[in-house]
Amino acid sequence: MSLPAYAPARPRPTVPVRRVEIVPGRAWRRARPRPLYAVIAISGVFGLFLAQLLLSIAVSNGAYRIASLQSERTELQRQQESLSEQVDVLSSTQSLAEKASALGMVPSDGTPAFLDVAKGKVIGTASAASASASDDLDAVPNALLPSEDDDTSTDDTATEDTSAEDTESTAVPTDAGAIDVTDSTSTSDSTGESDGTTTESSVASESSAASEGDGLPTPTTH
Amino acid sequence: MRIARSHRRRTVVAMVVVVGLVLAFVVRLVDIQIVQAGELNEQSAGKRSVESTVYGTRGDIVDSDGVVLAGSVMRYDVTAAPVNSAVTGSYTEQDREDDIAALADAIGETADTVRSALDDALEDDPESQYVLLASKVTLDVRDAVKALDIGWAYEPSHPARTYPRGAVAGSLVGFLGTDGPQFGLELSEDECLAATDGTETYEQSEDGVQLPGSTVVETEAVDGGTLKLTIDSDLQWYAQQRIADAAESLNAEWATAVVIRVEDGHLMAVADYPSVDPNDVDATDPDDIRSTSFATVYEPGSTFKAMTAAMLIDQGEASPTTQVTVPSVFTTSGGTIKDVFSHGTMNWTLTGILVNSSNIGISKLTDRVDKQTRYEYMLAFGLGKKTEVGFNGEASGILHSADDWDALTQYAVSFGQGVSATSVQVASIYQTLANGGVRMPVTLVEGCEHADGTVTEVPSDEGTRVVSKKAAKEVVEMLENFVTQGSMSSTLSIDGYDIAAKSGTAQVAENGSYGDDRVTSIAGIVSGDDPQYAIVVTMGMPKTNRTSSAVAPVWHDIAEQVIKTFRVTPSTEDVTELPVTW
Repeated sequence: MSLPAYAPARPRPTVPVRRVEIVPGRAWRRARPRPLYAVIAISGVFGLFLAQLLLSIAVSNGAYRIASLQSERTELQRQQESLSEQVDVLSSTQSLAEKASALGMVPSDGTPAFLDVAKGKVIGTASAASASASDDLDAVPNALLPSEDDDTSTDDTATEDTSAEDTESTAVPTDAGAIDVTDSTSTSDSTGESDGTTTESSVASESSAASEGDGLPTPTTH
Repeated sequence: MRIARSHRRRTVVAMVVVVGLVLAFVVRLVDIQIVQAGELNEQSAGKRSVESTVYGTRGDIVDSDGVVLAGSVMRYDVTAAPVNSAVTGSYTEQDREDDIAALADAIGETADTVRSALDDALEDDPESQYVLLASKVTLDVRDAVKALDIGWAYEPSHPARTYPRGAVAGSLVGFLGTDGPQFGLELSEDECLAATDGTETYEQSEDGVQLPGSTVVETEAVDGGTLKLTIDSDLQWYAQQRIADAAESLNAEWATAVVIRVEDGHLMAVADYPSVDPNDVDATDPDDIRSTSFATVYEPGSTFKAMTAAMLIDQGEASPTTQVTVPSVFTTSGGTIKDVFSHGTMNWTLTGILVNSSNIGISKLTDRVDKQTRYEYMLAFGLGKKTEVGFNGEASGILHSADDWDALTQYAVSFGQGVSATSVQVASIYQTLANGGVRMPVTLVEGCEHADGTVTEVPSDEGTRVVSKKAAKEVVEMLENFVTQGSMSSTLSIDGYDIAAKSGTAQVAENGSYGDDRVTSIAGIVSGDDPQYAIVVTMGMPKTNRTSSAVAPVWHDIAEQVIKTFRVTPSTEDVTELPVTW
């Protein structure tokens, strides 16, 4: 007899399983998304959020700043209005007449003379003013002018009935720094302005009568 | 596979977390948007959207130089929300008392008044949000209240009116009351002066700051227009001062002074006594709140003789040198006419009749023109109807039609009795005579300048011819002779100026007959050459001196002031002397 056609199975030796790694080819490598892009994208998104937050903060800040400036402006406007009011009252004819009288001025009487500059001549005759009998210039009252008695306060304006509660607001608010016309002292020292020479010089003695009225500074010039 | 399983678990965990978060958000959203929606909406609505009134400013009333006679100012009310003043955990009773005391001090009230105001309001309505504590306080009071930083006190604005010049033109300017304008130009020109308030809505954050970009101005406020008057406020002050002094020394019931510009009929001054200070209306008797110059009607008297003379000359029936034999009395079927001083038969020219103010003389000449024609002249001179000013409360005067003139009246009207007029109407007559016989519309308002710059109410500059230029000129010449040759020469004359004037001492009718009272006046024209201003000064019912010579110094002073104010240069030609007798 001859050898069988086939060989008996022999136990194969265990071949270790080879780890097969797929080595990425260059093309493959290039196709894979890089981490950098992810970082950029995500940081971009965060950046946008941040920017929006900052803008929001800035805008809100702006709103607060606007509100504060507006209220400052309103306050200043109110102060300006209040001061304008005071100026209006002080420049009223009654106030000026009172102060002029207090300074010893008299209304001019007689007709004025005219200086015709073009023709170089004087038209009319000028005459000196003299203290006339009626120097009492209070026939046209002005309730807004502070009265001599500081304690009596007048009601502001005639608009609308005042409320049931009595308001004692003075019509002309006096500012400590401004000429304090309500403070009528009877000494010859003028109020508000500390002009030490008023009682000394001879000029002052002529005008000391004037300074006994409303507290305007006594002029020391001739 | 183990790897696959852990992988799946991680995925599942991640999914669960995500879904959980989403669910949490959804629940919260549902809670806010649906469950609590109503309550939250309500809470936020009041706090977020604020509608505020944007006040328009009422227009100023200014004089011809822009001096403000009536202006708008801002005042402030002090209000409180009583419900917010309730004592809570952090706001103790003592805090409340301190605040009440400080607030009361600032507004000039007692603490008791403030406390009871708050408590009463709370009693009526425990949720009370508003009570008024002080009205129309000034800026410094408001600042003081604000500085106290009391959570329940507020200081809203309250527009108010101020009259910086007080009683100067007070009876022209008028004043406002609780419901709006009450009298004067404030009332009649309200359409020009009134402002329209606007509204502004914006959203505010919790601390009251406006959310950026959220203002929506719903309606713009429109400020009132500025009303410009023809009045010169300094002259007005002087005239008011002067007539007030005179009225008091003469013990007159009323007095007026009207200065009118000849070339255009603009009123330079309309002085009244008594006058009203719009800042202090309560100080004046309600009966005295009027413009006497426009509202008080009286028989003017002899100042009308100038008008009669103009009619006669215009009709060609007389001239300044017309000779008249003037008897001592003039008898009519209705009664006798006498002169103010008794005399024998006098040979006076028309000039003489005016210089001596002879009622008899003018009556004799009056016959030369028929009643109807004279009536029409008087209408043309503006009598019997209101002037173009249409002032609040203006009177039209009484001019009966010619058919109603009885035998006495038809003569009386020639010397200003039996017909009545206002001071402004008399001034208008003299404006016409001074302006070469052309009557200009009497004007008080120069215009109304609206906020957008347009000017309305511009007066007309069209005049009407009433008498010829010659007639007017000759009458003015005769009146100049009244000043140079008449009895009041020394008081009326102004050195260097040609003055034309006529006196009037009119009787006042009481219960159908004339009594002892008089209305004395002087009407005149300053600068005869080139007449520029007509001035009429009237004293109503003076007691200490019932003659017009008492008015002459007042007229003289006001005329001087007119010369100073408007820089009227001295006359260059002398007065044409006309014969008084023949």
